[in-house]
Amino acid sequence: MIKSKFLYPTKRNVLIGFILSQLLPLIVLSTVGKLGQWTNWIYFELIIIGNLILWRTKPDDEFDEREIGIVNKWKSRMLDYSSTFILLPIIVLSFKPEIPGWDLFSWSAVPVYIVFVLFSLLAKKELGYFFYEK
Amino acid sequence: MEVKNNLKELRLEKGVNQTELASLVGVSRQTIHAIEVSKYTPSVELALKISRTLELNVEEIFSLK
Repeated sequence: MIKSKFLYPTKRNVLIGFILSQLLPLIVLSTVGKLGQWTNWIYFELIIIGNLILWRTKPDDEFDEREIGIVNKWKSRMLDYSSTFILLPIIVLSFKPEIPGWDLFSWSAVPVYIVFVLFSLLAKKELGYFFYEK
Repeated sequence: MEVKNNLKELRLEKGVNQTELASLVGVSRQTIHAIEVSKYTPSVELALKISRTLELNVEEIFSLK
């Protein structure tokens, strides 16, 4: 049986993750010949920072009663808001069925991602810590 | 009705810091801090654990405003 091991987002691990993830824009942008375009770098940096914010501070079974309450509150808000962004294209499609549905749904992924990142940040602020502490 | 507490004073009297109390009752240090500043009202179970750890009655720590 494979035993899963949780990688905690300590300050050190987050810093290592941030430095290592710089390889991603470096590889992707160099293969498409856009290494010098700083706007593309900014997009990548925003996604890297967003993903680091989404990194959970610890596994579910290590949260105490207060933390479970906070995490559940923000999870339910994430679902509420992100479901709105999924419903909007469905409503638009019901009025304008000629619009390609894929385009609409692919655009709704952006606000959903922003909601997840923003609410994760707010949840961590309410928890009282952004990095894992022993 | 609000629940008030004097956990901080009683904890300091017993010479226990937040981190020690947190590990003794099985919660995070931030949770102990949230209780002390009345940002969080603990469950009955946690309140009893805290009172047992500090060797006090639960009413000595928590009371209704």
